[in-house]
Amino acid sequence: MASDALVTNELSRRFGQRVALDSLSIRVRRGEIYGFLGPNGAGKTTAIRCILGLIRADSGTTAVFGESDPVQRLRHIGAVVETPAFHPFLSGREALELSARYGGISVHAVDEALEWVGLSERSRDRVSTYSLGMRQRLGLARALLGRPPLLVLDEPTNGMDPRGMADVRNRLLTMAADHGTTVFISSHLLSEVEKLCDRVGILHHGRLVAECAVDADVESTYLAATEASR
Amino acid sequence: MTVVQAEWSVLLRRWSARATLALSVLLPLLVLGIFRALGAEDAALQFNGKPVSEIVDLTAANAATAALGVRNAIVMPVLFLLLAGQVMAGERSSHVLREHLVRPIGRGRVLWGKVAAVWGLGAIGLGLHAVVTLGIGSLVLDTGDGWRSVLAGHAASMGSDLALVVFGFFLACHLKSAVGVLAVGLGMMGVDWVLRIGLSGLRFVGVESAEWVLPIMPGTGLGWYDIDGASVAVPALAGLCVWVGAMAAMAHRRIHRMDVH
Repeated sequence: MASDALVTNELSRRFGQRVALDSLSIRVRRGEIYGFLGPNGAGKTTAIRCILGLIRADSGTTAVFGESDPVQRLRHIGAVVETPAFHPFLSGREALELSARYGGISVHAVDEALEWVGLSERSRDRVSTYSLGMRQRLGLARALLGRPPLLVLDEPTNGMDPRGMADVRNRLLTMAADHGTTVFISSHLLSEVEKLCDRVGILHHGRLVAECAVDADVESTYLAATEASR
Repeated sequence: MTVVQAEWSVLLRRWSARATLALSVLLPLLVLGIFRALGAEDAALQFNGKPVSEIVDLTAANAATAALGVRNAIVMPVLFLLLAGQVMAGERSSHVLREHLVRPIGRGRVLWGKVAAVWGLGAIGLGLHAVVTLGIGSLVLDTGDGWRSVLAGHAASMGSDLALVVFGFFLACHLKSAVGVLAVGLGMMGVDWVLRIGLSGLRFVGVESAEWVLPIMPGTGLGWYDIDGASVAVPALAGLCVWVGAMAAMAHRRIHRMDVH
């Protein structure tokens, strides 16, 4: 079994003339919570889409627990990409059941996931009646279906109030501690990343410009790294 | 099969899918009603001084043929294009497709699962259509002859349905809205229709090349089974198979190369 949960090697992607990812190489260890920091437009979402196989990298490779096949590696991943999307005419429960069927996961996992994000009581309501924060939590519940060993989360607390953000943070910390779940989380909120992560990588103009542990001064590192490569 | 089941559970929540099933019952009922009204003794509608009932054979079998003709030529092309547009292009633009594709499932399976679900819906609609025309039709009209070829026509329509569904998904893999799929699809079918009229004209005046192009046009292929003659137009069917195969291959290639945001 591979010792690293997620490895990208020289991942690059262009959109026309614009370089969105430039030889991105990162290594996320098993059980680690890795923060992926960067200003808006740095390439965080593009990197996550490449890791998830939603867009094709022009060059470079990705492996998840040693698995590089784009479909097979998704067996190990639960993901939230930007604002989660759902059929508005489905209830929260139905939306998760649909996703469970797609993932070949037992629909019994739906109850556990709903409870985890505190949406059990509203699970029979239509998604169209949910607030942005509730949709974000439902997206997290979807990512957690089947308890994948790696969570790839792109700004998962977008639209949440401070209490919701703290709640998600605490639950992710519990999952990592109790189940050894590896978390790869992108954010532009330094304070959130500092409270949650073990290590951070800083992305700027598609390049990984710095990597450090959170016990270091992340803010100074971030400002220096993004300033230096401006 | 998992994907088909998953898609099926969502498909039945869409208004367009419900409309497909409703029209599969209402359209034959409407045609049966018209045939019954025309066949009434006090029917006033005449043509060249003769009651329509003396000109047209107002039997249930003919009503079924007429209803199937309207279904295949007008109703289902619109509905299949709309459904394909909603299920693929609509999900892509609303980012729901992205959420499916972050599951460990091949893109080809997602595409063909959706195709199978929509085609299955059409098949159920055809079944309803046959039950209504056969069951209720034989109660309200003379049964008439040719039920065998009418039922064969229903079965043959499944082939034409598959062609329309694949055509819809081929467009939906390239476009980003259901309305776009519907508009472009109907536009292309209109162009095909105009070309076929032109080719028929050329054939009439003796242009030989029109003779072999016309049977392999997509629109000709959709009518590969003739209920009245109970016969299969083999060149049209072969042409349709080639068109469907080509569109299926292009849709498959497209979904594998597509960036999903």
